[in-house]
Amino acid sequence: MLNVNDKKKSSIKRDKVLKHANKELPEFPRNIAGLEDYSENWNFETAAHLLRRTCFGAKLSEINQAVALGMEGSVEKLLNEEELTPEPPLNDRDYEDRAPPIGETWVNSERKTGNANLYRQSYEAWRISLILNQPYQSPNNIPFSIREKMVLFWQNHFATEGTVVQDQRYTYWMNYRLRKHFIGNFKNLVKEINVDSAMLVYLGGIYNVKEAPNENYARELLELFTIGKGPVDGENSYTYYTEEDIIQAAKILTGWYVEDVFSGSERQRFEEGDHDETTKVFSEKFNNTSISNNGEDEHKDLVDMIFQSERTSEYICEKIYRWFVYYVIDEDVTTKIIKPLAKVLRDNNFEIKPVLSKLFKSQHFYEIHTRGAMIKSPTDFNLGALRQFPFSDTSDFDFRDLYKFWRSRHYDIVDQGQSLWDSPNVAGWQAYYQEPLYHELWITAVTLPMRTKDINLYFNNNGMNATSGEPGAPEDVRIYAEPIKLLDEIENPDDIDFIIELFCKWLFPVYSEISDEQKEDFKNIVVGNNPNMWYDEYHEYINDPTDEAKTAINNKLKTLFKEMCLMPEYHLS
Amino acid sequence: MKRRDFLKSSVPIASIPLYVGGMPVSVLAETSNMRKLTNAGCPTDRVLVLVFLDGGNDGIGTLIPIDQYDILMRDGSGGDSEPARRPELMVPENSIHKISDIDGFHPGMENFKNLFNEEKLGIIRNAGYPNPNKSHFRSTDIWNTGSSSEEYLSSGWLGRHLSKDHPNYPDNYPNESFPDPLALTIGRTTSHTCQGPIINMGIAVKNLNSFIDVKEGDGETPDTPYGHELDYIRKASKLTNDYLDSIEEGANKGRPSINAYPEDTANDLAQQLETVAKLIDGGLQTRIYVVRIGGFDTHDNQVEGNPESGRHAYLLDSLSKSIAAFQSDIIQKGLEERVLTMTYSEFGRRVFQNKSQGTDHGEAGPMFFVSPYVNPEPIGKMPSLAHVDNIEWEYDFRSAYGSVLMDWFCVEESTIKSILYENFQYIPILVGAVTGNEEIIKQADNIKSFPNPFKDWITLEIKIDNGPVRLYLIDSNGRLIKEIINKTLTSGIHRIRYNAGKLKNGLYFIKLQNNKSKFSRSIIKYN
Repeated sequence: MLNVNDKKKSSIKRDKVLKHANKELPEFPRNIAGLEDYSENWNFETAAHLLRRTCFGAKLSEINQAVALGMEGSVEKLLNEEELTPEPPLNDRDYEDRAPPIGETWVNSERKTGNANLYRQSYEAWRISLILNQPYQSPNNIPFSIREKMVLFWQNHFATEGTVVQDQRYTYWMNYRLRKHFIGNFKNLVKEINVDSAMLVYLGGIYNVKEAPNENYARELLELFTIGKGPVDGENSYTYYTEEDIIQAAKILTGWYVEDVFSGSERQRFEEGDHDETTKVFSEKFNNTSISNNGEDEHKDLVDMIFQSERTSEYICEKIYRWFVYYVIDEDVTTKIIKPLAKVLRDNNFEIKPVLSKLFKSQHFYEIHTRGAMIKSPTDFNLGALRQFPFSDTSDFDFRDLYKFWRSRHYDIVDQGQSLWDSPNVAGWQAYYQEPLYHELWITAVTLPMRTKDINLYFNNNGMNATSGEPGAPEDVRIYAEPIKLLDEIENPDDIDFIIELFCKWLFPVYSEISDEQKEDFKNIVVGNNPNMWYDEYHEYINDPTDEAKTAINNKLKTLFKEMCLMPEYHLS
Repeated sequence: MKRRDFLKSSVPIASIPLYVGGMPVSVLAETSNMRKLTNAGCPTDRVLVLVFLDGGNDGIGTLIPIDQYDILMRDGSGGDSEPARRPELMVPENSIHKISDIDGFHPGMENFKNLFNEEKLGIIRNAGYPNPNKSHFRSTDIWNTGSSSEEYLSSGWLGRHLSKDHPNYPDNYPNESFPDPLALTIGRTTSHTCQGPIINMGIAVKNLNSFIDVKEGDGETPDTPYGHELDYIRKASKLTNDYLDSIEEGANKGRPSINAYPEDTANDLAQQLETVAKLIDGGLQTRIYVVRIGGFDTHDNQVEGNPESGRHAYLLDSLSKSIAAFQSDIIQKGLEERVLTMTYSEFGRRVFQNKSQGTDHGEAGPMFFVSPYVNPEPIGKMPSLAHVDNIEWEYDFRSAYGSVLMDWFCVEESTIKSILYENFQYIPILVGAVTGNEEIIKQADNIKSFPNPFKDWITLEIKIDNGPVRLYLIDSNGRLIKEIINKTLTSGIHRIRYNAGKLKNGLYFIKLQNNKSKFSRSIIKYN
């Protein structure tokens, strides 16, 4: 399988699509709104916009629920929805004594030679399943939550490479940590990441000892995870910190190791003997702060210091902005959005929730300059489609078949350059930082045909293969799109004009830009210029719901959705 | 439903006789004339143009059974023995364009009558399938996939045909041997007829202008981030369409039509066919084009007061004029011998009308075929319409599809049975002789033969130039039966009488060679 990660950056010039991407940051004639509360019309389109940005694909039922709740109610629900901690990944293959029995989890078991790939594939499947099926505490209303989108945000922010970490148990537990703190205290999260087992392995924390400090993590902590590099303003100085600061930080982080055998408790340990006990002095960028020996808590003091710089709060807000809004951060955006959001963060002691709340309730978030501005990431595009459209009921499926299906869907997005197990490098996905292309990087001469092929597969009348082939598992298991289920959620299911309008508002981010001709085309995909055909076929089915009629309607709707999801508009959020 | 779980049809297919020209004739599949007389392999430049009439075209209103005119005019006042039929829908008898003793075309279809007289319009009167389904979506799926009414196939009949020859599509397509799309749908979405096992074997082109223009999108985009990113993706979509270049080349090289296509018609069939003609002319190697026109679901106001007007009339007018314009365009471009056009619809309609001056869903309906090689005699026999609600199928549409694949694209019969229909029965839709790269033999006015079909005596009328003349009769296997004339004659029209009473029933060919020209005429012997 061709993996986009294999391509080097210089291929931007050779890729016949990418060479038409941004050659410089675009400018727009606009005067954006600020963070004042959104006070205009709350309707299906605004609700769809909110959920499109904060969830992976927005279901019709979720959007309708959000419309009923109103803007504030919807944002509150997004940020506070009660969710269950998901079950950990299970072993789905027979590896005899090299792995726990089938159906049991491996996240605390012994690491044995030869099972790395097994655990990895189990993890990949599990990771996909969380995006497609989030477990909720009480699904008596229609739940929706920002959790998985935020977990992915943190996964991109604190990027690690599975190929380097190698121990899938660490990978799992780091993801667990990100999920637990997805909307909590950012400062505390950084403190936890400092000594997270996956991160310690990935960035060489386990080699960082007082005799031979390893700067790897310290550098990335400053450059990528907290304050960010500014323009070079002197020798070895980057506006917000200096090279010397990195050296000092590295000393603070000395003495940490990871455990190979554990059972749910923390997987790292601190060795006093390897810890640098000198006092570390920082540059005037940090007000010449001194941090004296504080053993295993010293790394927390380091974080406290970094967070005293105002820039830290701005840096993370810029990242949040690029994740949820758009990549252009000009002076207007900085003044009206970034700096005020940074203040909200600081005023709330670095709790993330108030920042998100402020952003998602703001005028700027809903104005025309924000709508439809983002090109969906592969996760958003592929998994969003799989989540938002109804598919076969898999509640009775053998879990091994489901794991196989989920793994295949992971390969779909790995091929487009977004593995959920392995970041390209410590900076995360290029789409979120590489100027001037940003998320245009997701669309290349290689990836766009992949998306086309995937949409064709998801809406194929033949369905998707979900056969694990494991002993005792059923044969020839397939999962089909079943769009007919949507008709139960639609007010006027026999009115094709109403349906087309609804689907356009649901699937395309700027409804006003969909021309009457395009809508007419979509309608005729279904009725072929026979205006009463949908009404007649629908009522015939309702009066006599044979399998035959059901299949025929499903096939028709699948053809329609396939065309809609192949539109350029569907790639945008 | 598993793909192979279907009930076999219990109708004894083999016993259904072939009706040609209203007369029963038995024709064996092995006698497929097109195959036998092809010398140099299958021409690779043949094109099939499939025209889908979406909605269920009313066959009786299209090809009107004039010998049952009075029956169809019954309004129910004659009691139970003379049930009402469709009095409000029948056009005046003298407005019908007669093509035989038993039927004629709707007044709006003069062009179809002309094509028929030129022996370029083939007809199967009652095409359908056993246990028909009267739902649009389901029956359309059946016709598009070529399935039985008990099967659910996910691939289209043309998709299976194409994918057997191109099993790796789309990997490594386009390539040097196949630089152009394998199939092309004119319209918004690819046709389900071309759906392959994984992906559609064709691509869709809505119209040539927006398809080619890479710089502009489908419309103006606003000066916002949305507009900016939408522009990029639209551009990307066009750039990653691997067939963009070849279609652009075809569109640029293709000559415009000399005669205007009709405007102000019910739909854009004319424009769709004009596009097809242009692309073929431009050298596109695509062999299958699918166009689709809708509006045939005439439950109400099939006619509007005057039965010669109304929705159906408007649609038939467009169908007839557009196909005729297409035919004259391709004649003009020297493409006529390469193109076979055929129409299909998901069902015909009821024999009797409903209360809203329309008709409801029926069963069998006509299929039309346009090419210089068509069998000039309509195939099939209209049953009595006095009491039946629907016209029962007489020929399985899958046998029609298979016969086209066999005679036009030279697909082996065993393959047709496996990809299409195991009870496939050959139908002689095409009969003209083709000799590969040599000059084309076709039906022409230079030979006339009457009566046709004949019982014993036939009169042959030949029009020749000065020079050697060879006039001979061959059977459908190509075997010489009789050398009728073999000498030099003077130019002009000559008549010869010949008694062919001893021949077995079936299809034969009178062939004329005069100087360097060759002509052919198919004739049929019946009891």
